[in-house]
Amino acid sequence: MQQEYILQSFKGVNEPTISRLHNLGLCVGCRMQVIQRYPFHGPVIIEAHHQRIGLRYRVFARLLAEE
Amino acid sequence: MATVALIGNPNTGKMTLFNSLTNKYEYVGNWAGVTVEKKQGQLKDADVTLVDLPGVYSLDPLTKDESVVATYLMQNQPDLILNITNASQLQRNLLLTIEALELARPTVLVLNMVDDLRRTGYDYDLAILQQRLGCAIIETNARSKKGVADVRKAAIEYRQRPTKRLAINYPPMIEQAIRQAEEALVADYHYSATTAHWLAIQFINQNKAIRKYATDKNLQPLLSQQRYYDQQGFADRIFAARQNFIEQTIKAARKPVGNSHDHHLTSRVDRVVTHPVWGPLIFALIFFIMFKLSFDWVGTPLSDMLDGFLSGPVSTTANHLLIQAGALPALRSLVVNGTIAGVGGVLAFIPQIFMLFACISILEDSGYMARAALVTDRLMQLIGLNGKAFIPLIIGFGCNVTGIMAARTIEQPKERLVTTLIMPFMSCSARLPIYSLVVAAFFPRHQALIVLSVYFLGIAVALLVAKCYQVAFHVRQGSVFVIELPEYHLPRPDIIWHGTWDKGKGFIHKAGTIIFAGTVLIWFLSSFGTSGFVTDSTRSFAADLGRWLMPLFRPVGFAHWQVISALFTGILAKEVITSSMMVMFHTSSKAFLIAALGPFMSPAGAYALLVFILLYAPCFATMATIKQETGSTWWMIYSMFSSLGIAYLVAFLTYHIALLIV
Amino acid sequence: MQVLINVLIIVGIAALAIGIIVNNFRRSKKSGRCAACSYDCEIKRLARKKHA
Repeated sequence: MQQEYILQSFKGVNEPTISRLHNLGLCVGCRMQVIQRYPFHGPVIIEAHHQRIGLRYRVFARLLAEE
Repeated sequence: MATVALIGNPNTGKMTLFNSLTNKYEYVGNWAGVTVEKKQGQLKDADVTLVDLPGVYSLDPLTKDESVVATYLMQNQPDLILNITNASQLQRNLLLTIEALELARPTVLVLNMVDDLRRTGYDYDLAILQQRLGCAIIETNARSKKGVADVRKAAIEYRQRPTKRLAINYPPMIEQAIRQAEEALVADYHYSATTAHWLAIQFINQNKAIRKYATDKNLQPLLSQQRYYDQQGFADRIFAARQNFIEQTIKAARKPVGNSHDHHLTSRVDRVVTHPVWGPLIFALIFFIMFKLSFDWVGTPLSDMLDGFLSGPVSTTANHLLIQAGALPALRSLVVNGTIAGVGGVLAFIPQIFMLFACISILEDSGYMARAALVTDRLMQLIGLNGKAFIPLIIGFGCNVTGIMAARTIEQPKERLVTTLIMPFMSCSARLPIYSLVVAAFFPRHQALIVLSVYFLGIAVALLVAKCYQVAFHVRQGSVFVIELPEYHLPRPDIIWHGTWDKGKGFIHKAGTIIFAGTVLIWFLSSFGTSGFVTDSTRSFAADLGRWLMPLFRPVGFAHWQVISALFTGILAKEVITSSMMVMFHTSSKAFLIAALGPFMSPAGAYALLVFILLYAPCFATMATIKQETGSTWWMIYSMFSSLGIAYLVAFLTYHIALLIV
Repeated sequence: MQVLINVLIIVGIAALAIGIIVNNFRRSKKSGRCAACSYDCEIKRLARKKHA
């Protein structure tokens, strides 16, 4: 289940979270691979720049500009 | 006396490195105005002071505690900056490095955890990195002490580490803005060129700490241009330029190496452990094993042996020696039936407590806790908590105080507050001795089951209360849940041992001080009454106090003065409840006490007592920590009274429900 | 004589206990330290490591 996505935008994500993501090296245009998804919109594990990060579904969806 | 500052991201092993470099360290109070403690130590055999700055991802702080780093670098002139990075996460770590290198202070970049790096199948050409970044680079693996000597040497030879200022090619408009601000700051405010340059970049980059500093000092060249900088989106472009620089540098320096075996190991383990179905099952299994190990397989047998030794040979020998020395019965009673019984009764639990902490250490060290936090986040959200609250709450099973401090990782203030307030319901290790005593006396055939039920009840109450707070506080905005999942590590036995021993030392220290003191206190209260020294404890102060409160406790099933008095002493430290019981029954033998308790109350009352002990007022240390972390005495007082109230209510319900069943 | 020494020892122990309780009180008031014990235990280290 290694789908790759490109980070589209930070719109709709709260400030502190944007800061955290920034600090982890995520930026618009970054490649993210989805390692694990959970049913019922549970958390998402992505891999970016060789590191694994756990996110909430809502945030992940917004990064892909899907919400 | 030179000063070396350690900076770096969290989770880079900075702490381990700091410990390896210093002889002993000390907390010299807090950094001004924040809750984070200032930690510094002396470099081994050298006239160099190491200051450990809080781990941050960037100099732009997210919380007030993080602002310490930017403030420190600006106001102090460390002779050397040691930037500790996780070599396998260099891309991200370098963001901070850049910010530090732009300061142009002597800097040494430490690539820690090189073993992890090589396991991913890559290594870095240090020469290329050195050339691009302009500072010295040292590879280390602090866990195995590799490279630590080199770092030490670098710290001592700080004078030979000139570092040229890192020059990143920012877009021309930004470079011009920086130049203009820098010139004005040097001319009108007398900053040095390098400091002004750095200040300008940080300000333009919207660093909250620096912007506040600029406002405080009324730095007009920057403040007057603030709108312009922000409207032009300079901060984003600086970020992009830095990212670009980092990517180029890494690409140039990275070289593939050998096999990347263990990275696959992490992936394989994760596939099972974070699986939506298997994950929770494994989770339950792990905690079940942890429990069994601590309280059944290893913990209890060792504990019984220790207890037998303390209440047998040690007590008898002490008694004997005292008789020989001609000590009065009062003194003998104080020493043997007071101190040895009370403190010994608690010391006997060292095996369980060690085991519990070892398990928690192993879980954390292995990297599993982060996964567990991820898996529980969804459920936590339902009651207004954050998945990140999971780790502190688990730590709380060891000691509530450290659990509350670990809650600092939760960014949202209300979520952090709720986690702090429900922490006392996590049954800490100090309550073990009294649980053990009560279940041995009243539920001899179902000991583990009853104790487990008490733990679960604690969790249930905690979750329920959290839900109530969610309704009361309306926690909506600003919740952050972004959690790094580090590579799995096979926990190193020596590191686990070190950590467990550290905590064990703390427990033994606690036994020798506050538990000892509490025991002496209860001895006096139960050996002296209105008529002076009494051997019949029913005429003592403790008895009077207990009897006075008896009516209150009749509805909950344990209206006995010994129990009530013991509960009082529990405020000092929960272990003292056990000590008090032993003292008041004039025995240093747990077995004797267990037998004596049998006819004392009904099983229903005994269970209600367990529930009460689980939930009633937090111990003194916990209350002090609540006050410290919430910054308000009111929350501390609220905590005490609310838990008393909840304890009474739940114990009442439990008692009456149990009466109906049994 | 015997009684005096005994009494002195008992009073001494009592004073020590009171001293410890008072010290504990004062130590927890001065924030910036772990209130449970004065050792930098593993858990506290982890807490600080994970800070932020």
